[in-house]
Parts: sequence; C-alpha cells; structure tokens
Amino acid sequence: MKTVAISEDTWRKLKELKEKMKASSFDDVINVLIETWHFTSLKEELSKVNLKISYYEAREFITTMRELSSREKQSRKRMETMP
Amino acid sequence: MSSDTTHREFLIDSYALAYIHSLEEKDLVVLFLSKFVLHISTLSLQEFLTYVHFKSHDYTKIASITQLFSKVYIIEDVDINVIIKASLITSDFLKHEMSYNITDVINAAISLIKNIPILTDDPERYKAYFKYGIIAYSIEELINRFKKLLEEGKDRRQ
Repeated sequence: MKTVAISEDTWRKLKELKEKMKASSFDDVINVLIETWHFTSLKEELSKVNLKISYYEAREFITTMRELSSREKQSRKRMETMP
Repeated sequence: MSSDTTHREFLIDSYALAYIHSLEEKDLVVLFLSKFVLHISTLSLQEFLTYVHFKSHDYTKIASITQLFSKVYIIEDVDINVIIKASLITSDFLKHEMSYNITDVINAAISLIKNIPILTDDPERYKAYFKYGIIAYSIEELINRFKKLLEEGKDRRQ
C-alpha cells in the first residue's frame, strides 16, 4: 500500500464522493476516478474525428484489395514463366 | 475459437478495426477501448486508411485518423524481429505450397513476438497460423461478451 498527501479540502470532497458512490474503500473511489478520466478523454478524442464506417463495406473493400494484390503477383509470375 | 475475456491485450487486424469503428453505440466503443490494450500493425493500419481514403478522397481525414489512432492504439512497426519471424512463417508456407497474405503474416509475427492474441472478424482467417501458436478471437464475440458483462454489472448495481 502507498500513501498520498492531499489537502483538507480534497479529503472532504473525497469522503463525500465515497459516500455518494457507496464505495467500500478510497482505493475503489480513486480507481473509478481514473477510469472515468480515461473514458472522458478517450470520448473527447474520438469525437474529434468524424469516422463513419460501414463494416460490411470496409470488409468487402479490404478483401478485394487483398485479392487484387494477390492476382497482380500471380500475373507477374505468369509473365516471368512465359518464353 | 470462441471469445475470451481473460485477455486484456490484443493485436487487432484491419477487419476488427473496421468492426470497432462501425459500431453505432459510441459509448460502448469508448468503454471497450479504455478497458483493453489494443495493438495494431502499420500494415493493418495501411489497409484501413486505404479504405477510408478511397471512400473520402480526403487526405486531412486520414491524417487526423492516424493522429487519433496513435493515441488510442499501440502502433506496431515492422521491425527486424518481426521481419525475421515473418520470413520463417512465409518460408514454411512456401515449402507447403500454401498461399498467404503479407499483412496476415506480419500480424502473426507480431502476435507471436508480443505474445498477444489476434482479434479479427473471422478467426478462421488465421487457421493456417494456429500451428505456430497463434490464438485468434472474434471481435464480434468479444464485444458481445463485453456488452453482456456491462449489462450484468449494471443489473447488480440497481
């Protein structure tokens, strides 16, 4: 276990939050705060980019792209073996 | 192979990446991304960005997606260790006259080096790699399982 120093004001706020959250320990409260921070900042980052993707369309596109690349390899191979 | 939520770290391929970012429930995506550590190879990223650019013809869009993804995911470069591992796999495939996709080979190599399972749309895609120790899970199954766990947690709190 580690100890951190916090001000009287933060201690009061933390105790109030623990009660509101019905958390069994301060460790739980801090973990929820960390998770919430990660969630909020990630949500903010994701909302910055308008990323509308159709999964089925993307899947089809990537598969076709892979097939085209493999066909190109095959045709090059055929050309090399031609007399 | 069925989904397994005991793992917290995965390598996602372009198919899984497209699946995650196609989900309508944005809060679920954020929760999923904050709960798991997700790696992506530069080759898978290239496949995904090709799709986005082909659709939008907008360079700024792929530049901003790349910037975002570099914060959200761990982007795996194709370094010399990956190249060596990929060469061993490719050579074995050729010995058995099997065809391969280079992105899948690179993903398999990264997965083996990092010792993390692959998340994909269809785990059968990596069937030929199972003999090297590759473990692949379905992104759809994992997301559904994750969703169920969240709902169970919500029920317990109520």
